Amino acid sequence: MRMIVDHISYTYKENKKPTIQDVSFEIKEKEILTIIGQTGSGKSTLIQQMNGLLRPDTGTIYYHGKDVFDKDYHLRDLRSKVGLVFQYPEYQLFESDVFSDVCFGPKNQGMSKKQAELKAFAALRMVGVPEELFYVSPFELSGGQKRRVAIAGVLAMEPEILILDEPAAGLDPQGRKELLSMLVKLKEEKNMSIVLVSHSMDDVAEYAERVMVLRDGKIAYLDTPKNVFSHKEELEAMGLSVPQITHLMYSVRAAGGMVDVNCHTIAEAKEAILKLYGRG
Amino acid sequence: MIKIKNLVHEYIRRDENDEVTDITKAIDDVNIEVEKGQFVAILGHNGSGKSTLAKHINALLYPGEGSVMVDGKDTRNTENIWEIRQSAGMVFQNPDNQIIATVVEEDVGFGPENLGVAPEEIWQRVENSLKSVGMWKYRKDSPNKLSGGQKQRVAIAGIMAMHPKCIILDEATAMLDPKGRLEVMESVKKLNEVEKITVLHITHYMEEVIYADHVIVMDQGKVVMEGSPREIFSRVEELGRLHLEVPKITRLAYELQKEGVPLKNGILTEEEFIKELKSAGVV
Repeated sequence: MRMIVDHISYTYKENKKPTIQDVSFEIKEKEILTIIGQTGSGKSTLIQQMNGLLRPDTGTIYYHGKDVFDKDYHLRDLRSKVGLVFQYPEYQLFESDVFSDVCFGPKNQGMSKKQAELKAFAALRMVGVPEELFYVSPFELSGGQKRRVAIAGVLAMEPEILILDEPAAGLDPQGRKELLSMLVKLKEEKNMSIVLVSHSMDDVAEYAERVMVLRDGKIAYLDTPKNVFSHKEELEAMGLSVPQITHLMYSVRAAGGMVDVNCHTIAEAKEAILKLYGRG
Repeated sequence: MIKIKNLVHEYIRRDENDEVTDITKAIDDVNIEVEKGQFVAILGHNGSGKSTLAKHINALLYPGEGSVMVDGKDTRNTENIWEIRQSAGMVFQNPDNQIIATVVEEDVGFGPENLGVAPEEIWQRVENSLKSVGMWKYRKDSPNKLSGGQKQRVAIAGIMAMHPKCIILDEATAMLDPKGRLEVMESVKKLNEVEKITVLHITHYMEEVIYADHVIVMDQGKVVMEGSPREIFSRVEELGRLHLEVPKITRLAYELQKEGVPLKNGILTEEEFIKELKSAGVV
């Protein structure tokens, strides 16, 4: 258990209603946890607390058995181990070339120039940015490449937990697939825990091991995608949805076809429909 | 409504001595015609030239070669710029960068006010356009209290208040949650059907393309495919080579066809899919 979020609540000064209300969960080693919820459900606030940027009003967060909001705990330690990638991180690239930009984080952590460069090199390799792009200006890269560089900047600090807010937004289908597969690889090869805020139910079904559904600052569900997506009506009432394929299977069922509605992928749906045709 | 002829747009890169080091053709000899009242979707992977094309239609960029005519006006003629921008309004990706006023109705009134429209008429336009996107009841609210989808609808209302003939959505749904995307798409579809506004929708979401009656696919600055959504999405393998996908339902039908299940080509919606199952007698 890497992180335990223990009954945290948080209210923004200007609001009366709490944005986060008594939220508890844990983050395991080597897992992909996705957070879904409508705009305003508290997703962004929650991830900022997990990285110590916002301090909960009540409750606390334990990281490897230490209370991170204790006065003796250095939040700086937490921030280098829990990397946060904001939405559209490419807007935050600022150095004159790609390599310097990625070096910034580890240098800031107090590493020597040499050490920082080694980390930057490894991080850029990990996200698949080819060496010929290391010394060009970040502004000359494509959208997908810039996004990878920005993520490498966080990876260079070698976090154990990587939190990303909508990392695939605005990427084309191919770029989307590449980015998400890269996250799976980080989990598998580096034993990282990946926390992914996503609006795409299809991505959630395909990549997540666990899904957290936030509603008005509370956890409505925290379970496997299969179990969460079996609550179609409840999710729709929250302004969310089920994967497109699942939606179709519900419609087939409503039309009288006896299929398992809990299909999320094309492969699963294919088997189910073939059975209707008396095959497979 | 929009006539693009042999359009070329080059991005020129120079070194410190101002010598040209590289020329990239973002738009390479493009010909497009959009009829009045059409709903056109433009697809293409990142960097295929879609957004550059949109900026030409809005006269944010001028043609290097070729020409762009919007509602009969040439974008190369600088005197036409303001009329062109008024007749072709653009909605961008980030809802937070497009709203300027502190109250929704003032934001929507800003455009027509700038055009010198009389105050009474401004209020009439604000009312009509907020109603057309279903945001009238939020008129006294502060925009920063709205959700992403609601902000985008306010941005669209702001354009509607300028009485445009055409709306260009440049990945305007990319940052929205599923509900927000649906709200925006339904508002736009309604404007297209009821007010006969021409729509150009640039998107990465294949399932949004089914709202369109014509699809243009771009790759490396060129138009590589054109046709109805059904025609385009029947070409599954070809789209894959262009780093694009087909909607999940279309893909499922395609996979089933490969297994020998008799289905028609290019199924786009659940209704069509189920109709096929019904006619085969399996449901």
